[in-house]
Amino acid sequence: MAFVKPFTYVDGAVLAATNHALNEDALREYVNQEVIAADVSADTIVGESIATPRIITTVQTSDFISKTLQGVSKIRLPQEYSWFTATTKSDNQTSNNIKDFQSLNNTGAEVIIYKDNTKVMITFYAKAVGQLNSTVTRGPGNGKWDNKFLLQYEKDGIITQFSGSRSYVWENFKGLNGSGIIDPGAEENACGHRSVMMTRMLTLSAGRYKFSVAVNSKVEKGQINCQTFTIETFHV
Amino acid sequence: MGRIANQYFEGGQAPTATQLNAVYNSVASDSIKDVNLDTEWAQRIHFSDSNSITSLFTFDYDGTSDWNTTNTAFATIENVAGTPSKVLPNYTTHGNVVVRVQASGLVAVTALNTNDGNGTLAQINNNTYAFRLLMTINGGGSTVDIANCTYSFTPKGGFTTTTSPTQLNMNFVTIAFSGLCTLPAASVIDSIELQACVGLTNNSINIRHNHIQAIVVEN
Repeated sequence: MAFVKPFTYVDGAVLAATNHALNEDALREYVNQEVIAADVSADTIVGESIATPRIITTVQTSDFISKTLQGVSKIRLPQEYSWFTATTKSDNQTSNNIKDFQSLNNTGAEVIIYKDNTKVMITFYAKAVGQLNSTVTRGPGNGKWDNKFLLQYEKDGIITQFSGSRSYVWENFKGLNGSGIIDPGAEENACGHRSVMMTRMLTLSAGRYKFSVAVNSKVEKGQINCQTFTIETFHV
Repeated sequence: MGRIANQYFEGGQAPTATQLNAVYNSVASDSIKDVNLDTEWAQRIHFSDSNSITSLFTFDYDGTSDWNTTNTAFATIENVAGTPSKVLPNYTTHGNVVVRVQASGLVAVTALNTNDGNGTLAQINNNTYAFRLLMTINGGGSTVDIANCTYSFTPKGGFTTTTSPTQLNMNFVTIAFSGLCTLPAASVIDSIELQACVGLTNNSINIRHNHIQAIVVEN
């Protein structure tokens, strides 16, 4: 709202105190409370006008006006692994039905959502390696050696998994015979070294969320490295 | 109102109407400039929820149905008939914007018509399939290939000194890629769709779950 002067002074006329007060009040309100976009000149607001982001290194969080960025990045630490293993053996390990998803350490972060319908953007990349099983457990059966990765979060003690984020790595073994529903195709490194990549945009209600990537492991020893996991929470 | 006219009066002086009006007229005819703004005055609460800096759009197909292509021309993925992998922002830009896109998905079973080729430049296409995010703007007036990526069917590179053909095609490979582009003010973003093709006719890929994320950033 452009400023409009309520009272115009005229020479020779007795000035009423109330008229002068009208102008003073209007100016005070305009300057303090009623500045709108049209009153601000182009190229007026500069970077230093916007509040400085908070960088909280202990929880790897950068809090900008427009969004909060959290997560981990270990692109430059290829030797740093997150290990996974089948924690149940024999029949369970080879079962298509029994699932034992374990959360991979150093993936994900905890986010606090303050307003309902807040959108977040999840990006996860990692190199996954499924190492050779011992002789005893090698070749558990057609299509039963897939290690499935899923994006998940925990909220109020309840875990929600996103089946549409599923990615796979297999036992790094030459001599796979036959295939099941999930067929890796080529064997050896072609099945035992895979990129795991997930991107997902979610609309969340208010609350605390702990994101991570979990794996239903069918190998005795596997690992991911070069992982990066970012959560962007968009505020404005 | 970079500068407001001030009037100073002596005791007993009768100010003129011009002098009294001057300060108010200064405000009415001027606008706020950077000297009026405190450092870090703009906090998150000052930004509009309805006219956001960032606008976000997403598409997810999480199911288990495959979409197949054996064609060398890009086509939009459509796991469910009538529901193509596409976002429809219908967004008109206010100023110069950055459009950020990401896509990911799972390629299920693949098949080579013959083999992955001899590794020469002429046979790169024997061993490749590709994806792109295609943006349509201004009522279909033009399209922009914002991001694309190419994968090989086998562990062998598309262009390599390894000349022995193989049929070691990999299945259940995850794909992901991203890209950026800029648009001027008053552009209309109609749609952004995820498309796929193979390099050589009758090579085959099956796309399973797939996802698009688009973020339009004003300023």
